Amino acid sequence: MVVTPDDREEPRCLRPTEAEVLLAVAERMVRGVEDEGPGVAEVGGLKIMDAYLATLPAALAGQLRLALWAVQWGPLVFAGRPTTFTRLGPREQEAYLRGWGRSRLALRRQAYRALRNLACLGYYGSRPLRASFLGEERA
Amino acid sequence: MIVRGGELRQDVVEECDVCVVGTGAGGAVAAKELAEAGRAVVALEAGPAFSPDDFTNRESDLLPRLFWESGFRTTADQAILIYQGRGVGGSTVHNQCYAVPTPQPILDLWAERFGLRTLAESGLREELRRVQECLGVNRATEGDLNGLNRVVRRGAETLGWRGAIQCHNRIACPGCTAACVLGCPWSAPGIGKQSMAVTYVPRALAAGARVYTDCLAEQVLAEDGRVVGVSGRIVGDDGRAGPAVTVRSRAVVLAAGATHSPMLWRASGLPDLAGQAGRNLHLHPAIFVGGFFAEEVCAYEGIPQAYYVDEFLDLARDPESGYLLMPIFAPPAMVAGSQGGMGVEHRAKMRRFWNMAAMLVLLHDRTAGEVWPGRDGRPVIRYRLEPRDRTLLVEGLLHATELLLAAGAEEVGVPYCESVSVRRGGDLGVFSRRGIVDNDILIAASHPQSTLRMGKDPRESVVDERGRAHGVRGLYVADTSLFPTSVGVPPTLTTAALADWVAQGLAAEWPP
Repeated sequence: MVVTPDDREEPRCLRPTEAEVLLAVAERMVRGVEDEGPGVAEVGGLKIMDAYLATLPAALAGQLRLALWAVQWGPLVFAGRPTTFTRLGPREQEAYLRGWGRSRLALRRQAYRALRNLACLGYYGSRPLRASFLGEERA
Repeated sequence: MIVRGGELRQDVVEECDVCVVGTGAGGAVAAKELAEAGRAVVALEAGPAFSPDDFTNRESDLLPRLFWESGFRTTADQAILIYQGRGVGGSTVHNQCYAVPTPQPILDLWAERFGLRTLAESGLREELRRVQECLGVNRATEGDLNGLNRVVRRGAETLGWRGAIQCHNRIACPGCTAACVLGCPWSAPGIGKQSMAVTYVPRALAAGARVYTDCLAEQVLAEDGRVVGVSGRIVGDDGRAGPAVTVRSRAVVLAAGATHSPMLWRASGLPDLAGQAGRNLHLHPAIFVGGFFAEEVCAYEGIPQAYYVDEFLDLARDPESGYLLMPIFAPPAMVAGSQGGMGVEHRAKMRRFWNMAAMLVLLHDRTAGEVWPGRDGRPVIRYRLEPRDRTLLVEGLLHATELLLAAGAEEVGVPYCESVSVRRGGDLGVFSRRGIVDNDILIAASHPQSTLRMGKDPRESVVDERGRAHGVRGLYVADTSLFPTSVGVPPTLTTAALADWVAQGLAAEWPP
């Protein structure tokens, strides 16, 4: 899989803490903890997600930002852990996010789905991943 | 002439006979028929005009350009993703080209329930003939069946279920892939996907119609009980408002789709004698099932949808319920979004991209929702699946699973938040026990309809059998909003035929 420096530009829409949370969420959503191969940031996934967020109506982008905030501070509320999502280890992050997908609260499931869709767009919509599936010419 | 909104620097005032709002499956037909009948036509299209080079097949490029709200539009409770096209050609640019005539039992139901006897008696035969000719509709051939469609057919035949190769509006696809869902880079008159953008719109332009792109219609203007035009505004890619566009016309044809047409109706304060504008929303909600095979299926290659199974849609027996089982595929990011689970199991599924065969269950829904204009200009779409429709979707899910297993799938999964799958010989009850719970399973819809329904009785409908608004002279509707009930089958031909019917009627009775 060919990854170039252009794929790793800094985000323009997301604030730094939002970008950090989104990247961590995306990593756990689309890759296994021990997955080999390039990560979401390395293939330019953050740039794609950031650019996509910029195209959304303000209310929708705001909902996604709120979801990131809720995920980041949620360990305290939902897991009884006085810490943030980005401070959890990879396996703990994964378990925590799975809890969001299994939640009885529709709002948590909504957030889970929306963030996972965004992660899929960022990762599998990247040029290196598209090339790995479809060939360089169709990437 | 196409006037690209981004190139306008000052306000515009147009005078014409008919202003058509929208250039999709209904609006493009209305614009062409009216222009060819000698009427001066101006069409307003909220999205851009595309050229073949725009269709890069990349999800991140095209989701924001092709779809309202960048393909992220949902019902108010976020339970259902709603894909609606914007741009010249509307949803016909991204749709999968099934070309299915209006089923006679549906027309009979509309006659019985809503008094639409002329439509039932004619069967829309003449209108369907014209539309199919203009769109180049032809039956897909054996050679058009790709690996995915062959899998679906194999499964159906093994189970003895009724299915058939369908007609479509594609001609000599040079290199079709599942990226068809993001626009056809080969699309031109006589080649590739015959969307409205390369069929009806060019003919409308040749007959003198003018099309303003990137122009959001904001209000239908009416005075003394009749329409006098439409006001709109150029909206750039960045969402910023540009110059105003005002069209003064003797007639207005609303064809902005079943969410935007009723929104415009309500925002304009138009008379709504029956209180039905924006109500009765049907969606054809769809759920997805994915099978994994030992051998490569190569579902991404070739025409994505050429066959479907209608064993469970018997409209002659029951014109109000049932579902279709269809093949479906898409580029990698969209396929990824439609898989269940996360992390290691999600990655493992995506590594089997070429061994995947996916299907959707398209529900002929009875659930009725509604559309309201939101404070930020976006539609608020309230739609909550009724228990009966949920039961049918579960049934459809089980049948699609059976079909894929019968076709040889080793494992079949459903896109719940968690990864839930069944292997050959396993217990399908895992799906029926889990059921259809909002925001647990992916549900998507791309056929909103029925929000400005036709009917003879003004106490029950918004427009009459010729698409004329009850209570406002000169106002017509020519999109899926017209359907009194869910149509149950892919709606492109019905939309186009009804738009033809409405436009021919308006041309014949001119002035309105």
